[in-house]
Amino acid sequence: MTSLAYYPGCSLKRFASGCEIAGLEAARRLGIELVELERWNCCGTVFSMSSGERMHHLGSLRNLVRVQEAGYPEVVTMCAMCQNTLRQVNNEVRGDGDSLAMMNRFMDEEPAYRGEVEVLHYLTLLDRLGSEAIAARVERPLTGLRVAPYYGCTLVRPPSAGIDDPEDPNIMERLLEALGAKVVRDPMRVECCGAYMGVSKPGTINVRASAIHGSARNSGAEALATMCPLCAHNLDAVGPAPDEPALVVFYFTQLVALALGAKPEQCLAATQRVDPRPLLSTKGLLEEPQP
Amino acid sequence: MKTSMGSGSTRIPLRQQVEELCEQSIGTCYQCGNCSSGCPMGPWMDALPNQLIRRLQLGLEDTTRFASPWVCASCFACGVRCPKGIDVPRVMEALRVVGLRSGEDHIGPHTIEKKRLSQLPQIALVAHMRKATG
Repeated sequence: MTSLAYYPGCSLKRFASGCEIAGLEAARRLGIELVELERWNCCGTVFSMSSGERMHHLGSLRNLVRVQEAGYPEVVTMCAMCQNTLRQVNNEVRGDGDSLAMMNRFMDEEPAYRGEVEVLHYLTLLDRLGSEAIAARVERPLTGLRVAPYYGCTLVRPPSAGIDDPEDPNIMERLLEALGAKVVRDPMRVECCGAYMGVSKPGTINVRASAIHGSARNSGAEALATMCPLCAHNLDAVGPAPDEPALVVFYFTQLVALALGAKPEQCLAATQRVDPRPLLSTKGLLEEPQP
Repeated sequence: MKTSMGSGSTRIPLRQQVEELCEQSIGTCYQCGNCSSGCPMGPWMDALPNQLIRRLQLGLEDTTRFASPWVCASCFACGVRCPKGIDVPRVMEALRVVGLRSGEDHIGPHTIEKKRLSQLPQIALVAHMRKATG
């Protein structure tokens, strides 16, 4: 079994716990042990883009120091926003020796960060294993389940922190095919869900969610798959306007765990507003896998 | 001899402040509007990203009065699509930083109804407060 450092972030310990429970189980079934970092802290959630606001990068940097201390060359994240923020901070200090020295002076109670840790998203980790290796481990193929991958923003943009092409990503499509699902290519898959603007302008999220659900539905999808807790909240818990139909919203990890034969309660641990069970039941995907 | 230390005489022009904060040169923008046409929050903005950039190019100091930077969701789409390679999300961030340096926050827990506050995930609250409070 391969061991890798794992950074969960705050959402996966709270409302997005379903993403983590399924993700850890799927990794275990693929022979990967994700070892949670000790003393991790908030990544900062968003990357501060201004030259005058570098102090906000300290949260992410401290986590990278934790990875360095634990002796791992890489750290795996499942949350799209954590991945993005950690990567962008890492990129910035790596590309600028003065910036790295300055940030190390800011946190002089910590060992100096050497800039050597790689931030790896869970999907990249699966992709590195390869579609064939994953397909070989599938015990409950997602046959007939029509899923539209929804990338949102932070998995693919900006390109320096993205895990695939910013306008035409393909990584979730490749993995879904390996899991046996029917992939639906939705034109809205890299368009923003409204992100945190739901805090101050709640109505904006319904409008964005309606557009995204509508587009995926018109493309023939029965469900959306995402890796971002904020997208999942906006698309599922908030969702389209009340009089409009809403698709099931899965965390991608839930579909991986399901296909790899995990028990449905491990795959569907967190509360989803739109219950995925009826859809999965009609596809025979809640039954014990056939040996 | 009269010595003045007021902000009026020494104020750095807004365009210069923005360009230094975002480390971008906005002079190359030729107003194609690609950033604005793909902006998911455009319908809620009082000036679209390309309009803000045009105002900065023209040296209009009152460009900080628009609400658009506080409506921007930092989705990075405009930056990916700019044919002149301007990192537009950084321009929006710089306008936010200029605004926040005036001491005014644009959101706070007290501005959100208690019931809603308990339903909002921390990822949304922290992200928004990081962008809209100093």
